[in-house]
Amino acid sequence: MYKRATLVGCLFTASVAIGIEVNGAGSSAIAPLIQAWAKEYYKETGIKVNYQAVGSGSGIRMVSQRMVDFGATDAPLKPNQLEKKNLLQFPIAAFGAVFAYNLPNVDGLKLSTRAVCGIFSGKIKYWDDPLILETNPGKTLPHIPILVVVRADKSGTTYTVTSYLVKACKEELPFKKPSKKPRWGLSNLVAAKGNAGVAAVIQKKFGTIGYVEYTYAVKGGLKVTTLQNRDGNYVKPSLESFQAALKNVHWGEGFYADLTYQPGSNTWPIVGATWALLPLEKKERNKLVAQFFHWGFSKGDEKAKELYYAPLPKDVVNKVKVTWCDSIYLYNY
Amino acid sequence: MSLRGNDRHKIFKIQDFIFEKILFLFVLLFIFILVGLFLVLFKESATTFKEIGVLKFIFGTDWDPDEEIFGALPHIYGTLVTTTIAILLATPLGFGIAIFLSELCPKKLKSVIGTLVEILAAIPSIIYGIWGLYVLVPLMSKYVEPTLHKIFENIPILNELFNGQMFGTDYFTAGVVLTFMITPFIASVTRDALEIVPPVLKESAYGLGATQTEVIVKVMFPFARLAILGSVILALGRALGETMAVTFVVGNFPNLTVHLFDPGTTITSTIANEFGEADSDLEYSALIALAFILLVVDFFVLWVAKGVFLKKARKYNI
Repeated sequence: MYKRATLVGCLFTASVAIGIEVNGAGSSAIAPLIQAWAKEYYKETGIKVNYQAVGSGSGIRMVSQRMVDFGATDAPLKPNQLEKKNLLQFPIAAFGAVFAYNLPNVDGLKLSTRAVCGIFSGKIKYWDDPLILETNPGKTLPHIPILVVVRADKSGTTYTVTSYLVKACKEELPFKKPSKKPRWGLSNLVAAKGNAGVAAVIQKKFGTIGYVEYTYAVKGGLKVTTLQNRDGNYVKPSLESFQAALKNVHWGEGFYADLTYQPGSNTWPIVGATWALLPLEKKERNKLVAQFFHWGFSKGDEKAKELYYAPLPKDVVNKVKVTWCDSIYLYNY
Repeated sequence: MSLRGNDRHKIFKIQDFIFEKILFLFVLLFIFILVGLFLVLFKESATTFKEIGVLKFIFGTDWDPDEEIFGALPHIYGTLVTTTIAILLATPLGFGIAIFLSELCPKKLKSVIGTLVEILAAIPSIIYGIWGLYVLVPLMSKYVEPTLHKIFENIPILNELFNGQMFGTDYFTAGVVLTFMITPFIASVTRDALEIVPPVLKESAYGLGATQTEVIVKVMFPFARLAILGSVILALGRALGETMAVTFVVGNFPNLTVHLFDPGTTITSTIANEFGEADSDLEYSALIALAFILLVVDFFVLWVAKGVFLKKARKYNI
């Protein structure tokens, strides 16, 4: 029935094949990366990978109904859901979410975990709150209300941020579990559509703070905060600190994992990832998908970094390959 | 070789027959699409109506996908509020532009301004949305809303209406963006309607000593009222269903409030925001049920508008 294999004997490299198309759909967060990979991949192999950024939820729905060859989701499915839908799950790449703010005369704002929790639980209402001043000696913070900018649409980014908040803040928050669109329970709240929308509001409005994916903060030229991580250190957002988060992650069955608030001295606390979902019974199509991601994992790191994604560490990639080998190449029914 | 008259007649008859049937097929196609739309929406939303209950869904005030609580009322309310604001603002604006264009505008400017208004009607809604978010929202929260709030501070009812958080992303801003989107519709159709008023009618009125205002209000508008009402109804339909532009500026927060300066949501923007990430089957179905309700609301509003107002207008026509 089931045979555990070594990587020998599983051929992941695709030969040149014209006219073959692979279709995927799901998370919009990962779309720029998959599309960039697909472009290069097409040049090398002639295999076309089409990816529609329809949102994680729709991606799951479409792959569950077997409408596409693979789905992509920002919130991993639990092992029992994978079994029910007969899906194979593995991570593609990680990304960091950051807090961006608009205070023209304040650079390099540092926030302690207590300050972040204070802001998101509604206890800290003004920028010159003692909890914020404490970690920013020498800076003059204005006495103006803090305006929190969140996502109006359901989003994987929100899911990542709320899982960080829930872990870091415990009891203080009005919501108790991670959510793609929680009840924030704040009165000083502005909701904007998409990462781009949140970035736009922060850019325009004085006194705002909000979360966006790192790419959007860089592209929009927004000021980002330094955050206190689980070890208590203050870390700046960077690809290195995002990758540091991946080192100590416990990958469960079906690569189920929560990447937020991981230990490590240089670890960025708000890191999320996108997972691919493959219909287990379609072995031949899965080989094509596995070949594409194999290409991405081995040759796509530079492209990923260019787009501010954190490539998976080598040991995780190897684990993924073993899974492919087991379930795509040698799986018997 | 020429055909005898009899044959020619036969060919024409067949031609007419085919032509008529083809046209009828076109019409049938659209009737099928409409009926199909209704059936599919109803079928997909059946889960919601069964599990939550029709009334509980429509009058539910709470919307929380994480807890699988779905209530449509705040969304229906938001759709009606933004549409009402837009119609109230756009109707006088559109009429004003139309009157100016057809009666008062210098000939040289006429076609230029007319074309500009028509271009406004053709701008894609996403552009209105982005413009609304980047330009209008900051202006509203900084100047317009505080000013309005101050003006109406001491007037009962109105002081409640023009109140709220004033972040700029709210019911009022959404209404204003919609106003800009539908005004060109009203303006250009109304202008066309006013232009076909027979000169004889106007001249007779002037001959009787009527002023220009009297001619416009008492002669031209009554004559063109069918087309003018039609333009308002068309605009109403567009405002009810507008999605992208509203989603950008409405705040996207289910909120039953009389404060126009508070964030809210509409049926369409909730669907746009949540459809892609709908996790459970019930949530998916609830969003389709919202679409179904919008279709029903749309039908109802158009039916009232057409059935009541157009009939009245027709009755007293010249």
